[in-house]
Amino acid sequence: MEEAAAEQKYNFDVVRWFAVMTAVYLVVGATVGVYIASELAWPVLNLDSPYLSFGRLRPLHTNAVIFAFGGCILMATTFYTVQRTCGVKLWSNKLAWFTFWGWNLIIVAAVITLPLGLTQSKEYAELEWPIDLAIAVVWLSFMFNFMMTIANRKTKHIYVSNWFFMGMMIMITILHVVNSAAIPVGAFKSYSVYSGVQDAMIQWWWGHNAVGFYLTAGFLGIMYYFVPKQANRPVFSYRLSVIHFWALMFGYVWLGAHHLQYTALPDWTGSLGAAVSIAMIIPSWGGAVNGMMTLSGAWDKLRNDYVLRFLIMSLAFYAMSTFEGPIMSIKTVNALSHYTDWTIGHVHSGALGWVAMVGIGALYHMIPKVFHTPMYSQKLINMHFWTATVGTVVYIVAMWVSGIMQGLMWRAYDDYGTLAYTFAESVEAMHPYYAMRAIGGAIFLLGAVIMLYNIIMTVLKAKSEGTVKAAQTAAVTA
Amino acid sequence: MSNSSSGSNAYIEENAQGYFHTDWSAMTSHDWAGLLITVVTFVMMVIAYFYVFRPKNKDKLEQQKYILMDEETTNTEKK
Repeated sequence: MEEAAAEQKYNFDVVRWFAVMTAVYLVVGATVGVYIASELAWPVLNLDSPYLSFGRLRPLHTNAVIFAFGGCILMATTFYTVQRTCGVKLWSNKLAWFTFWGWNLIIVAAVITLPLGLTQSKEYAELEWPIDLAIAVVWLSFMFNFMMTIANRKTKHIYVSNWFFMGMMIMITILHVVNSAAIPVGAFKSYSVYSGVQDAMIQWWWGHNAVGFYLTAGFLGIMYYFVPKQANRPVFSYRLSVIHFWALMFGYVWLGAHHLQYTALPDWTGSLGAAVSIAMIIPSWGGAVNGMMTLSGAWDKLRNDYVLRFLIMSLAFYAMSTFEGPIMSIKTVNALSHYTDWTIGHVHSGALGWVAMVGIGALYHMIPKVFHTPMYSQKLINMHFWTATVGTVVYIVAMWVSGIMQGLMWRAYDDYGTLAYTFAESVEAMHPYYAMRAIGGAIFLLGAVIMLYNIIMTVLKAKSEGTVKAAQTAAVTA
Repeated sequence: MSNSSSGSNAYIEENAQGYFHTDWSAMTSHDWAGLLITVVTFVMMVIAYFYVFRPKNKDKLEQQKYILMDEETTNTEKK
């Protein structure tokens, strides 16, 4: 009855579509990821085709997982939670549909242009200028709809998850516009307005803040709604969540320079980036502890609540990767870790362990609520949890070992000051770990396929039972 | 021993003076903007910590965490 009331009070149509597309894009993005990981282990897989080469498919993988999977889950959850926490419908249903179709067309444009080699060559911002303009328009439509819904709210207070979503929207707008500033010289060719070290600095100001505001702040918004809801307990400390928010907003923008240690960038900027990175452990761990302690006194829920397992495991990975990152930013550690696979391991402990798992947990919570029927199989959710966890651990362990070995081999020299290993020798030494990484990724991908199957079967079940229509037409007492 | 100790202290002092020395006349408008933003951010962060952890504000802030627990039934009528 309660869910029928919610169905009639709010707009969930666009949420349903975004939610299903999230599961589709996770499979697509992870498939491309496993393929390119396999190419690194077995180069013959590029089939001598430029369209299938690592250089072209790697940005397709990152765009698919960050902007297709990540974007869809962020849009599904923001449209879902902002209505429920503000007690009003979306400001504009039409604008929400514009956001849905616009975002998906951008993803299609990425799928076409990236394998063709059309790129601005800026990491996580590869798409050419016409698509960049489309991103800005669609993103602003998303933000405007969200802000107007907040403005129309029936509640006095704006719940903390909405603050995180707003922070993400404002900062990503600024970051995208500034970083993508370019001079077009053709329909699909442009040059950045920045050059040299300034270009590098702007790029990593964007690059790290795409992580900080899109993959962290946005997904923390998800965490602050879905962990308490799934646990059926209020968040451990609301005050801690407020400090978490402001410390993240004030602190994250300074970190980008830690990607450019030992480069032409002034030395002090790298030191500043490292110092603030270390300071950020405090709010990050505060947030992780806040999420985990929400289960205080109810840890037994983890025994049989598979969705909660995803959410709590994601917080463990969040805590781990937000400790590892600052350590890697310290110059002495960075001298070993940078340009090695350790960075890839770090990124994936955040991406697979934190971002994907919290998103998956939110999806499993939301799908039954918006389709008004339980998930098709709880056993498959449990199976997904273990494949996701084991796949992530295998992946990151492979990259840690590989990365540290790479760093040590590159810096080793003999009594005469001659390098002890050639670069090719270090590549050869990586092979077992590249194979192990591909296997870890494949295990994670298997979990994503299980989730997609489970969601499709749930949607078909809802359709055959007519649960959505029933909820839309049920008599509800106000 | 004492000579060596005072010598090393002088060295540290001199080095620290060099490290923290600022040529204010060489500051560009970008430098001033950066300095201003840094100081303002720091002050705002201190204000945020003070506000959140002030005992007087504890109940006011903590009661907001129950929004999620009753969102479906009551929060729509709280205006």
